Amino acid sequence: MAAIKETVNTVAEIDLDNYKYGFTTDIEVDKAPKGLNEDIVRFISAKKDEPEWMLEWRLSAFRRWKKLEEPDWSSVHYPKIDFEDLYYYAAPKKKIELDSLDDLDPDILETYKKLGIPLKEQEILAGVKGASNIAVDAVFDSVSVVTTFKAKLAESGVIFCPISEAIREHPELVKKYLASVVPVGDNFYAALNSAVFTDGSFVYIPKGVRCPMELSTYFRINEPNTGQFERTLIIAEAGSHVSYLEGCTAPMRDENQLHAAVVEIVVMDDAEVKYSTVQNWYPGNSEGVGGVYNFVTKRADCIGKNSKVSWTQVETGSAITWKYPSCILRGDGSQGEFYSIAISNGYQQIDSGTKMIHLGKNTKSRIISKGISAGHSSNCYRGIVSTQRSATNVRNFTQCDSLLIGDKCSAHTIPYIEARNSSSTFEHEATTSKINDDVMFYCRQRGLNEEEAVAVIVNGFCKEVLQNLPMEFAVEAQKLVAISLEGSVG
Amino acid sequence: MLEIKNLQASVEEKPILKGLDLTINAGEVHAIMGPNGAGKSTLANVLAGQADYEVDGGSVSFHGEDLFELEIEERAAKGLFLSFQYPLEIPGVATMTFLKESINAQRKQRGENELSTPNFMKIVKEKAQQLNVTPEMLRRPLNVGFSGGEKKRNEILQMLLLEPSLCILDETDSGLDIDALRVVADGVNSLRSPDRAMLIITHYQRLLDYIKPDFVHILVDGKIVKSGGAELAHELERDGYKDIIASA
Amino acid sequence: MTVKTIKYSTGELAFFAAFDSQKNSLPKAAGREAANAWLKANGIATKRVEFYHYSDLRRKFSKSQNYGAAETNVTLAAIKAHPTIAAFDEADYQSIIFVDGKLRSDLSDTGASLANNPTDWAVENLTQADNKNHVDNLTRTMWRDGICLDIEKSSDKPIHLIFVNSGQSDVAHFNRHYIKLADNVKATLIESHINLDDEPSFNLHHFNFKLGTAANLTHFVVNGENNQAVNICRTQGDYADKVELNSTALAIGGAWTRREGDLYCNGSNMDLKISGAVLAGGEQHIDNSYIVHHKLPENISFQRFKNVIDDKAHAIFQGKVIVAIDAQKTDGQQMSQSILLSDDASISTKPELEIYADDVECAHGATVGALDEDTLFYLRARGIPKKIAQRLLIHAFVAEISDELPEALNIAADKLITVWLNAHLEA
Repeated sequence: MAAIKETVNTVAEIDLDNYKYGFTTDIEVDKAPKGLNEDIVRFISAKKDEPEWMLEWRLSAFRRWKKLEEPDWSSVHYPKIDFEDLYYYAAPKKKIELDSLDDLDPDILETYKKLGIPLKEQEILAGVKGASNIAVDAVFDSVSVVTTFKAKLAESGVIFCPISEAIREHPELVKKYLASVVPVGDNFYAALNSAVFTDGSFVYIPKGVRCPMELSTYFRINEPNTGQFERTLIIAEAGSHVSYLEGCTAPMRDENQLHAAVVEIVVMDDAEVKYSTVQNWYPGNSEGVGGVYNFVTKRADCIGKNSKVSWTQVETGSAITWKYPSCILRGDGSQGEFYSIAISNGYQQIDSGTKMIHLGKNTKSRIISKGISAGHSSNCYRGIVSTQRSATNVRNFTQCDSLLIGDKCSAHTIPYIEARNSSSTFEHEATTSKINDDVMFYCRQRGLNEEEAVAVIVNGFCKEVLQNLPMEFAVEAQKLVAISLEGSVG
Repeated sequence: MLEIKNLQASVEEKPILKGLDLTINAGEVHAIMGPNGAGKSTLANVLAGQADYEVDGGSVSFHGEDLFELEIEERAAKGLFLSFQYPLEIPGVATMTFLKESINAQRKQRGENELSTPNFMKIVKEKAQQLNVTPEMLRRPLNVGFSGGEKKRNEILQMLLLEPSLCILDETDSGLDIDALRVVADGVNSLRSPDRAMLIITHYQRLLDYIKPDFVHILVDGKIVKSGGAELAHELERDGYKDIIASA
Repeated sequence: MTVKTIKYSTGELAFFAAFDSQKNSLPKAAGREAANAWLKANGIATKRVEFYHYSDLRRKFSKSQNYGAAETNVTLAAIKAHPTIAAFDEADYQSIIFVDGKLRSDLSDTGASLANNPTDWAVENLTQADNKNHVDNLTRTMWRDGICLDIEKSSDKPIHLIFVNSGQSDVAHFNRHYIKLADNVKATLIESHINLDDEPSFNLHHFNFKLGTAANLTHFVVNGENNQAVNICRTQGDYADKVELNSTALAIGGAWTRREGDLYCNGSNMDLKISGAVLAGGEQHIDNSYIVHHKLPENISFQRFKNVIDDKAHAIFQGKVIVAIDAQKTDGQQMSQSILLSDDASISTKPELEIYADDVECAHGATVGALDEDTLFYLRARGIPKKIAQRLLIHAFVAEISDELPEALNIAADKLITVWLNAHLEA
C-alpha cells in the first residue's frame, strides 16, 4: 500500500510546468484581426489565393456554422469559448518559397529542430546520421511552411502538399472529395473548420501505388490567442497503400488555444491507410491553467471493397481533447481499426473514442483502447459500434481498459453497441483497475524505482497499441508515456 | 553481511516475528526451516521491504547499513535479491525488456554504466541456456502463462543476471518436479562464492539435498528455536517438527 | 445558461391538461404541483435525455391518451387463470392485486393503499421536491394509488404483487409504491404484470425501496402483458449496510416495456444482483436501464442481462456503475449477452462505467451474436431437430439468469420461459 500511496503523492506533485515543447519562437507574423465574420473568411481565402468556388464554399460553411449550437454533451467542462476573441489567421511574415528550404525562416527551422523533426532533406539524402527517411509537411500556426521530398514522391505519382496548394493545383480532386466524408454541417467544429481552415496536408496515392516512404505532418501552434484549424484530406485509390503520421506541439501559454481540425480519408477498393497520431499539445500547467482545446473530427470512409483503415493514436497532451477517429465501413469486406492510448494528468480532460459504422457485408472492426488517468484528470472512452440490417456477417471486437493512478482522477467508459441482424458478432470487454501493489513491489525488488516501475507497467498495459505504431514513432511514444506520467515515474 | 537483531514484525496487526536473531556472513549458506505459519515468508518479505508487513521492533543491518532506512529498490541495488514464492505476472512487458530494465536500473543506482544491448543480450543468452529458459520464453510477457516451474526458473535467471550479494530464496522448491529442481539448484550453486551469501527458506529438506547449507535454523512461532549444521535438516526430516519443537 | 422555451408535443399538452382538470379528484398529497412544474420546465424525456436514449418517453404520450379513473369488474378466477399467474403455486404466496391502477382489497390477501393509508415514509417522500427523474415526476404528478408495505418480520411466504389490466382501453395508470424492509428482515417479492384481454394498456410505476441493515430481498418480476401493453417501471433503491439483493426480471410479454432504476449503496458490505432475461419477438421494445451508485466503500454489484430477440423486436440494456471517490474497494460488474434470432431483430447495449475512486475492480462485457452454429450442428448431428435444438440452447442461455432464483421461483420462471418458447418456436 505504501508504495502506491507514495506514487499517488508524487503524481499529485507532478511538475507539468516543465513541458518539453513549451518554448515559443519569436518571429514576425502576419495576422488577421481578431474575431470571426464573413470578412475574415474572405481575408483568409484571399491570403491563400483561392479560386472563387473555394471562397463560396467557405462562406456557405460559415453561414451554416452560425446556425449550429456549440455541443455540450461530452463529459468535458470548460468556460465558454469566445469565438470573437481569437485570431483565425497567423502566418510567418517572411515570404516562403515552398520548394526551397534555404529560404525558410531560420527561426522556424530552429523550432522544428528543437522538436526533433527532420526538415532538411539534403541531410537525409546526404546520409547524415540520425536523419530519417520520412516526408514531412510542417504546419506553423496557420500555414504550411515546408514540405519535404515532394520531388521524390512525385516520381511514383504521389501528391503530398499543403492543402492550400492542392486547392490551386488539383481543384478537381479537392472539389470531389472535400467534405465528402465529414459534411460541412456534421458538427459545430467541423463547420467552423470548413469556414476558416488555413492549412493542412493533402495526400493522393494513385491506383496500385505503395507510397515509398512514411508521410508525416507536424503541427505547431506558436502565436498566442490563435486558433489552428487544419484540414487534412487523404485519398487512397484502388490497391494503394500509405502510412501517415501526425505530430502536434504548442508553446506554454496561460490562455487556452483552440485547435479544431478536420481529417478526411477516402479509401478505395483494396487500398489501405494507416494513420498514426502522437498528440502532445501543451496540456496546461499543474494548476490547470492554459493548454490547448483539441476539438477534432477525424473520419475515414472505406468506400471500396476490402479497403482498410487503421487509426492509432497516442494522446498525452491538450487541456481538453474531444475526438473520435471513426470508420464508415461502406465497402463489403472493409476493415476498421482503432488503437488508442490516452494518458491524462494534471487537470486534463479527455473524451475520446471511435465510431465503427458497419454498412457493408463482411466488414470487420477492432477497437483497443487504453486509458490512463492520473492527477486530477478525467479520462473518458466514448465509442459506438453499429451495424445496419443489410450489413451481414459483421465482426467487432472491442477492448477498453482503464488504469487509475491516484484517487483524484476519474475514468469513464461509455460504449454504445447497436446490432441489427443475426449474422453479426460483437464482443466487448472493459475493465477499470489500479496498478497492483504486489506488481509494484516485485518491480522495485528488482531495483526499479517507482517511476521506472510505473513506466514499465503502463507501457506493458499499452503494449497492444504501441506495437501498432510505425517503428520511429513507437520508441518516441514509449518515452512520451513515461514523460507524461513523470512524477509517478520518478 | 546481514545482521538481524530481535526482529519483530506483524501483518494486519497480528504479530508474526517475535524476536528473531540471525547473522549471515559472506560466503555462507543458511537455511531456514519451519512449519506453516512460523513466519518464514514474513522474514523474506520484511527483508525485501514489502509494505504489508509492519516492523514492530529490532534492527537489521545489511552491509553495515540500517536496512529499514533503505527503499525497496535501494535494497535491491545494494545486492538484496528475493526469489518470490509466487512470482508476479506483468502483462505486456516482455521478460527480456524487464530483465534489461532491472539490470540497468540497478547499475544506474550504483553509478555504473548501463549495459549496451548486444552486451546484455550475450549475457542473457548464456545464463538462460544454463537454466533451460528458451528464447521464446524471454519474448513472452513476464511470467504470464508461465508454468510454476517456468516462473521459478525465471526467478533464478534474474538472480544470475543481477548477481546479488544476498540471495533470499522463498520456497523456491515448491511446485518443482525433480528435473526442474535440479536445474534450479545447479543455477543457485553456480552463484555460490566467498563474497556472496544465501538464505534459503523451505518447508522440506528436499532442496537442501541439492544446495548444501552451512547452517540450518528452525523457525517456530516467530523465533529461531534451534540452529545447527546441514545434519539438522535430516534430523528434522526423520523426526518431524514436533520432536524438534518439544526438545527445543 | 440560455433558457430554452419548450415546444410541447400534443401528448405533453394532453398530460398537463389532464392534471389540471383532475387534480382535485386525485388523492390529496404534497408534491404534485412541484412535480408538474418540473415537467413543464423540462418536458417529458425524449431520446436527447441520455438515460432515455433508446426509449423516447414523450412519444409514448399521445394526444388521445385517456387519463380517466377506472372501475372494472374482474374475477379472481380470471386473474389466477392467466398463464403468468398460473405459473406460481397460489398456496405459496400472499397476493396484493391492483386492477387498472387501483388496489383491490376485495381481491387481495393483504396490503395497505397509498391513497388511503400512506405510511410516514411515503408521506415524507412525496413532499420531497428535488427529483430530477422523468418517471419519478410523472408518477408524483399523477399517481392515483400505490402500495405501502413495511415489512418488519422475515417470512418464507412471498408477497405477490399482481398488476392487472382489464378492458380499460388505453387508460394511463400512475402508481407509486413504498416498500420497506426492517433491519435483518428477509423477504421475497413477486411482481407480475398482465392483461386479461387484447386491449392496449398504459402503466407507470414508481417503486421506492428502503432496505435496512442486513436486509435480504429477493425480487422477481414478470412482464407477461399482451402485445399492446406499455409499461414503464422505475425503482429507486436505498440500501443500508450488508444488504443482499437479488432482483431478477423476466420479460415474456408487453409491447413497450421500460424498466429502470437508480440504486443507491448508502452503506457498505452489500451484495447487489440486478439481473434480467428478455425473451422478445414481434415488434416488442424491451429496455432495461439501471444505474448503481456506489457511494461508500466495499460493495459488490453485478448487473447481468440476457436477451433473446426474434422477429422485429428491439432489446436494450443500459447499465451504469458510478463509483464515487469514497467508494474504494468497489466491485462493480456488468454483463450483457444477446442472441439475435432474426435479421430484423436488434439490440442496443451501453454498459457504462463512471469511476472516481482508484482502488476498484470494475468490468463490463457485452456480446451479441446468433446461436452458436457449431453447437447447433452438434445437436442436430445427434438427431435433434433444428427447432428443438434451438429451444434447448435458448432455454439454457436464459436459465443462467433464472437459476439464481430460489427454487420455487425458478420453477415458475422455467414454466414461463417454456410458455414463451412454445408460442415462438413451436417444435
